[in-house]
Amino acid sequence: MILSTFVMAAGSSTGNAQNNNVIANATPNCQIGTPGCRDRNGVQVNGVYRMCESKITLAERIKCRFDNKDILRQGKDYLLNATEEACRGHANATISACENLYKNSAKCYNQADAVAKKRCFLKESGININAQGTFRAAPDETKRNYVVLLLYELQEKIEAKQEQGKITTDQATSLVTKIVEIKKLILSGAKRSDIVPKIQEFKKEFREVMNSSEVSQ
Amino acid sequence: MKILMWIIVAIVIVGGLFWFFSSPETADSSNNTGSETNQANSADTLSENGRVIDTDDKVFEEIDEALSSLS
Repeated sequence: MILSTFVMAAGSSTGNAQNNNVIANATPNCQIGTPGCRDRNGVQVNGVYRMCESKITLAERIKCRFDNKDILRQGKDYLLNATEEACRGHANATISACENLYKNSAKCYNQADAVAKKRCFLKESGININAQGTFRAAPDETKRNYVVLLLYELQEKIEAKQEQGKITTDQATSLVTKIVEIKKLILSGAKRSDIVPKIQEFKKEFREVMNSSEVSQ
Repeated sequence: MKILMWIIVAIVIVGGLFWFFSSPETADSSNNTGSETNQANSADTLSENGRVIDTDDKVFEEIDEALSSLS
């Protein structure tokens, strides 16, 4: 239950489906509030779950989840077997590793203390914090995991601001979409030179949106 | 008389050197170098002594540093 609550809090706009095949084989004609819809594994799913998954583009799916957050929360199935958007579309081994990273790091986001949270991120990324090592000496894969977890941290803040009405759903959708695209790039093993411009672009928009939300208070 | 003069000259030189090395500008410069070294070390060390990611800006700094260290 606690874990489920977290999953809703962190990454709720991006992680709510098993995979596209599940949706393709789900009960047809499920609409908002339709009871009894099931995926191909027989697990009950609510109508909104399917509705958002049926959207073609990433931004549409994320916006749909923002718009229907309360309804999605009502379906416990939503919290089961969830696959984060960033984990989709990779090779099976990468998907599995990505899902494990997502699940294992869930507890980190409940840490109120910033030092403990960082320690948790490092540990779950696979970086050995007890080895007196350095960033540069850590394996690339672990550093990529670490960046993914840090991006989740920012995503959580965006989702909280959207829920509080401090930023619009469109602003939140644009930012979270960029985060997912960057995470997919990182997890696919893209070169640093391909990732950095995307991060800079996201950073600029993030700061503009967050500053505007503070000014409007 | 000559010996006395050399002693005075030596005292002036030693005093001058002492003043130079204990002046605030020189001391600050020395401390800055040490501080910069410590910051570089702490930022690169994966321990809780490193950057605390308690603001958005620090999260971005952490991301930038991790990405810059990718081979």
